[in-house]
Amino acid sequence: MTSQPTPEERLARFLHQRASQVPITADTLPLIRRRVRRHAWRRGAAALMVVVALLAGFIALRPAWDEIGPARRGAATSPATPACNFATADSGGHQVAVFLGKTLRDVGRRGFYANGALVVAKIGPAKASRYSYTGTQRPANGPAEPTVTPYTIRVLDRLRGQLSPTEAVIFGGRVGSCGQPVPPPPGLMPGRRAVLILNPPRFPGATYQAEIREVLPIQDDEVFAYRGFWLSADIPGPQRPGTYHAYDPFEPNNRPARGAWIPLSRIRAVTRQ
Amino acid sequence: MSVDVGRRSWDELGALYEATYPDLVRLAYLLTWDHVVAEELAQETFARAWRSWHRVQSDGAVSYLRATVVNLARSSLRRRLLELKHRGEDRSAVSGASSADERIDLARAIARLPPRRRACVVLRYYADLSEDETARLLGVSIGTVKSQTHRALRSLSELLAEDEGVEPRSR
Repeated sequence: MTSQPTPEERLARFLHQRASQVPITADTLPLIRRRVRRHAWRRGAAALMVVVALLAGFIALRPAWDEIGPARRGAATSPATPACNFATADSGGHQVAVFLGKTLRDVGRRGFYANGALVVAKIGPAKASRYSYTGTQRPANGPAEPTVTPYTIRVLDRLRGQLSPTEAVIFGGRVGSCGQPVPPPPGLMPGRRAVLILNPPRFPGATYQAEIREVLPIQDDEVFAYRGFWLSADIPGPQRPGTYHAYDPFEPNNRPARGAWIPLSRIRAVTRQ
Repeated sequence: MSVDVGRRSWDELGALYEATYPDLVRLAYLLTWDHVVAEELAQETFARAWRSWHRVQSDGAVSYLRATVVNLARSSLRRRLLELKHRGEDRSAVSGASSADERIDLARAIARLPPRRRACVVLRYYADLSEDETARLLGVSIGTVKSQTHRALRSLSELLAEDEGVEPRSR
């Protein structure tokens, strides 16, 4: 008399019976190899997509980083970090440096400041306490004295003719190297206006990283005195090197007066009157 | 050098394939109740094993492959249930048993078990794994394996009692 199989035994037998009836395709190893290669391609494509996405994100966000980040080249980010080597000594004029991430943020669109554009700015109060730079040689007695006086500049919005809400800081005078500051350019005083001539950006798309090549201190009404035009910060066309655009701030809609190109030499003459 | 390593791994994968592929297909079949899907899962298992070859070698090839089959089967069932849900069809269609067959047999009862219980039953009674091995392969505790197996058997017990013949239904 045979014993009755337990439910577990019957279940196991059933499973084995079912499994033994499964048709199995012979020699599917090539299919597996093809699948492996497909996996590799997919992983490679996914990695490529990630890299492209990161790169695109970096390119898209870089201007924002420039705004909140420290100046890329030379500017003092704190009183403990001296500013040095802002500009080349042989470019002429008063060399100043600026936290351009802030300066250029609200004024123009991207690409606006390429090729040495002009910016009309107003010099704000000095912020020596925040941004002073004392150089490397301290007096033997007493606290170090600031030798570079930073000013805030408020860039005039070219379209609205108003002060941009953002400020930047310029360091008066040329700073050829650490510890060798030069007094600020004459006339660059708080409350005065100035024309900033910008250097082209260091690399394509880095419009927020342009630096001021030259500062021309001007009287408050000097810019208006020139045919009633404001200097704008338009990009001089490649076919017209050294010319700049101007527009009438009192014109309806404040639109630039098309075709009012002004040679740089004449602008300087006007602003130095 | 790298070519040699790749060639050696290909050879090792081929040897592993020869030794385990049919068993993996059968295991996948019992988990999915669909021999086409079972072959698909078994091939995918080897492709993944190639990708994680160092783990295959360190963890033990067979148990790694079985664990991959179980996980892939679970994912496959979940995906199929989702598809059926979106198409508004009966979830029992996932079982693989013929819906035309009104007789609820043991195969259909097994196929209707939740994936984890089905895995416990198949691994315990088809692959003849111990509770400890099953727990390690599924990544759960031994207590979970015991309880899941017990519940699965309880739900099958009525059918097992009724269906004395336990005749497998040909597909």
